[in-house]
This record gives sequence, C-alpha cells and structure tokens, in this order.
Amino acid sequence: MKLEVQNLRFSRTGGTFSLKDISFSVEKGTVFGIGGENGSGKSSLLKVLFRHLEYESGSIRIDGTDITNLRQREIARMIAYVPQETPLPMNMKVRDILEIASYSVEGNDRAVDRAEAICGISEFSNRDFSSLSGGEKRIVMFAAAVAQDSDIILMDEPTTFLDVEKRMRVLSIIHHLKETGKTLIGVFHEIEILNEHCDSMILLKDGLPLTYGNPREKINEEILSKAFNVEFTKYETPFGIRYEPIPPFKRRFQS
Amino acid sequence: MIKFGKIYSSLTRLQRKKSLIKTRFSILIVLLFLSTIFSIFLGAVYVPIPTILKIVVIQIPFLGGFFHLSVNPINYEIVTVLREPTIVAALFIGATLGVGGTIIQSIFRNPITEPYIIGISSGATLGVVLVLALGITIFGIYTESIFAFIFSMAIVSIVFMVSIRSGQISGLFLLLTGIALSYFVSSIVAFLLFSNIRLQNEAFFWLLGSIGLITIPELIITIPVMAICMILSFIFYKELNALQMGDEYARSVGVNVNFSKGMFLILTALSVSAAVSISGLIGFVGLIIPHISRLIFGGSNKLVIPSSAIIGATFLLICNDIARDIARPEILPIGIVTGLLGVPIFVMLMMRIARGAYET
Repeated sequence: MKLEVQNLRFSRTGGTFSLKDISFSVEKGTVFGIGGENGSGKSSLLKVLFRHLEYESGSIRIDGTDITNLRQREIARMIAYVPQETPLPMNMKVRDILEIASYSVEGNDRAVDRAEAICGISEFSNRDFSSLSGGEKRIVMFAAAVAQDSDIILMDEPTTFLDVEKRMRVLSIIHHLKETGKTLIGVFHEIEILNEHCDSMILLKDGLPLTYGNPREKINEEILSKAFNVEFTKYETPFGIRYEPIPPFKRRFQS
Repeated sequence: MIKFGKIYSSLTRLQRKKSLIKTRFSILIVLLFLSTIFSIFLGAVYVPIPTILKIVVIQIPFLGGFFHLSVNPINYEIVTVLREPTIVAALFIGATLGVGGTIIQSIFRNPITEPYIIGISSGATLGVVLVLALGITIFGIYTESIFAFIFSMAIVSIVFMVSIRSGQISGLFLLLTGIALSYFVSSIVAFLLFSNIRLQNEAFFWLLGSIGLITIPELIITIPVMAICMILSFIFYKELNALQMGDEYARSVGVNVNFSKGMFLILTALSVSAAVSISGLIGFVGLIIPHISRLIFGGSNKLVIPSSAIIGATFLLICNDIARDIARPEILPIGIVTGLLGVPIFVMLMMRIARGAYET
C-alpha cells in the first residue's frame, strides 16, 4: 500500500510542540525512515499516522483513501504499530499478545502462527510475556505487528536497546517483510540504518522537515550536523559510506 | 525462514495447553456444584437430607407435580425462603464482584484496584446511611437497597463526568477522582455515624456485607442486571485484553478505546452497584479473585472473566456457609470471613503458582 502525507500539521494540546508542513510519500514494498534528534517530533508523527493523535490540518492517504473517514478498525487493517515502550499487561502469555494484535484480523489464528514463525518466536509462544528479556519482548512486539497482517507497519525505534544479534534479527525481519510487499515506516536513531536500510527518509528538526528523499543522495555531513547539532565525519566501509559523529572533546585534538 | 518443525511443536504445545485449561475449568465447575449442594444442607435449623432432596424435586418445573411428594411446610419455607435465595445471591454477587474486579484492573492496568474504587462503595454507603439517619421508608423494606443503588450510580456518574477530558476518558484521572470523591463521601458518612450512635449499630452489618436476609423480589430485580453485564463483558473480552496493553496500543490494533472503556465502566458500575445494593460492602472479592484466576489461567480475559465468575461465586458461597455456621445461632457479617479465609488462600496460591509472574 502507498502512503501519502501532505502538509500535515499537528500540535500537542496545551504544549508548545508542533509538527508543521510535513509532506512525504512511501511506496509499497519499501522501507521509510524518520530521523532527527530527541523531541523533534518523530514519535508524534508515527502516532498521528494511525490517528492515536489527531492532526489539525493536511491529509494522510492510503492508496488514495483519506484516513480521516475511516474507523479505527479499518485503519488497523491497513496500519500496524510497534511501540517504543513495551506494554506490560498482567500475566499475559506471548501468544495472548499476538492474539490481541490480530484483533481486527479475520481468521486470526493463522495470522498468529505465521507471525510466530516469521519472527522465530514459536518456541516461547506459551511463556509469560513479563518473564522475557527486554530484547525478546521487543521481538514479540514486532511479531505482534506482523500478526496484525496490515500492509503498512509503523515502528518506533525498533532496534534501540537491542544486542547485536537481536538487532540483526529485527533488520532481517524488516527486509523479509519488505520482500513480501509490506510498507515499513520506522523511527531510527542509527544513521547507518537510515542510510543503508531505508529506501527513502525524512529528517526532522523542531517539528519541521529538514530534508526528504533517497538517503544515499540526501544524507551528508552538513545535513546531519544541522539535524543533530554535532559535527560528522564520513568514511568508507565494505557496506558503503558511513557517518560518525565527532565528539567535541576529540574535535579539539583534531584541529 | 518459516520452520515447519517449530510450528508443529508449537501447535502440539497449544493443544496440551488447551486440554489443561479444560481440566482446570472442569475442576472449578465441580467445586462450584459441590459447594452449592453442600450449602443447601447447612443452616441454623436441621432439615433431614431426604426432605431437602424432596423439596428440590418439588421445585423442578413439570417434574415436581408428577411425583406428588409431601413435606413439612416449615421445612419447605426454611429451604426455599431462607437457604435458596441466599445461595443464589452468593453465587451471583460473588461472580459479579470477581468479574467487576477483572474489568477494573484491566482498564486501569493496575493490579491493586477493585470495582469499589470508582465511587460505588462510598455512594452506596451514603445512600444507606441517609436512609437510616433520616428514617426514609418510601420504598418499604427495599428503601435501603434502592437508595444504595441510586447513590452509588450518582457518585460514579460524577466521577465519570469529572474524568472526561476533551472527549477522552483518562484512566489515572478517573482513579484519582474516584479515590478523592470516596474520601469526601466517607467523611459525610463518618459525620452522620458520629452524630448518632444508633446509626453505627444499624450501619455496621451493611458496611461489612451480609447476604443472609436477601429476599426473592430483590434477586428478581438484580440478577438480570448482574447476569447481562457479566455476559456482555465476556462477549467483549478481546477489547478488554487490548485495553490492558494501554490506550495507544489498543487503538493501533483497531479498538475504539473511548467507547470500549466507557462501556466497561458502565457495565461494572451497574452490576456491582446492583450487587452492593442488596448485599452491602463485601470487601476483598473484587480485589483478589481476578488475581487467583490469572495465576491459574494466565492473563487473557477470555479465561479470566469466566473463571473469576466461577471462583468468585464458589468463594462467596463458602464464606457465607462459614459466616452462617461458625458462631451459631449468630450470623457473622460475610466481609469478616472473606478477608480471614481469602487472604491465606491467596498467599498460598501466589507462592505456589506465581513463579515470577509478579516480578517486574
């Protein structure tokens, strides 16, 4: 499914924070990254996309249909969400979590089995969710989004706080889902993920778009410095170009 | 990427889990049935077992008339007017409090809440104490119950109205408003009780709960309310499961969060107010029974709602038997027994079954 956002404007009730003039489109079967410093509006943007937060003006269209006219259940059939903070329900098993996620899916047992297999969690399907490690919980939340069987998956920092193996597993799942035609939209803090794993991306700064497009073309030291208020250096690796922030105390020695 | 061996082993595990659940449910139903039978035979006056069996048969529609059995009218009155309504009341009130606790704990995502917290108990108490203090008798012997229900719903409505912020029901706000308003109303009740020593004695039984004197008309009015609310809560168990994950996540999976929350709160307020209006404040059941259910069946409300109903009903029935018989001919307030019996059972279960379920 194709997602189009035009001139989106959102402000938090009673607060000074707002998102302004956000426009982008995400093609079917691609990975879209949202980057920017803490508090730049990345997570709010994701929450506006599935209408947990109501936007003031602009439009969000999925395959041409404006989501304003859709009921929550209809939106959930098209958009799934992996939250940044893992919820902690009382005494729930892993399978219960996946069944909750498939609330809007007809014939949800099959969707749950498939999601468990794709994310490799079939073995601890009957374990208590609260007894899992932080990384395992995150993978389960990812599997829950897969069980929702929606064409678009929103991910709020899906790789943060994960060890290397879990991070690679999440990235493999993202690629697998992309190959099966899913559209993935994620908030990422890691610049290499934005650069190497995303087909297109938007960088936010104080609720405004800083740059938008193909990360290989748009990301450079200058734009990253603007986005994160830290200087960056560029270097080549076997996997492509990478950007590394220069800590201020090292910059003194460099000069 | 998909490993079929793993799917197969996961499916067999699932089948094993399902049969274990069936066994546990069967045990609970058998316990409920046995305690119901046992309760009919218990009471201050001895009624022979064959007489009780005859009375039970007589009451069965069509079959009763067929046998032409004769029993002593006094024994018939004891069983049908005193024992049976009490048993039915214990079953429905226990089930309602158990299910109410499950719903409130799920909505607020808080294991230490109970249905009384949204203003039900304080409102009902105020209603009853006002009736006693002002000597109101407009509804005859049902005045206390009707005032308890009306005041309970009135206080819950105030809590709801204060808690709705820009069209959304804020869980934390509702909880705090409920607690604050409860303290306020409790102060009024305390003042009324303090100013009239006679009221203290009359209100004492009501504050600790009692189901010994519930009448059939009271049951005819309240049972449909309690039953319908419990059935509706069970039908919408999926929404309740999703609400346990928080508003944000529930909305992302397609739940209409405000509607569902409002519906569950109204169902709980109605059913628990109906129960409290005829029984008084029976503590502990709404708080602990859902935990016992979760320890046995896990957290999904598909199992927790029916098992809370069964365990709550059985538990209150047993407590009522003890309250009736432990200090014969005196009848203890049931609230004393629920705490004394329930806490050791709960602690024992928690130590044996919890296995890290309550660790964070």
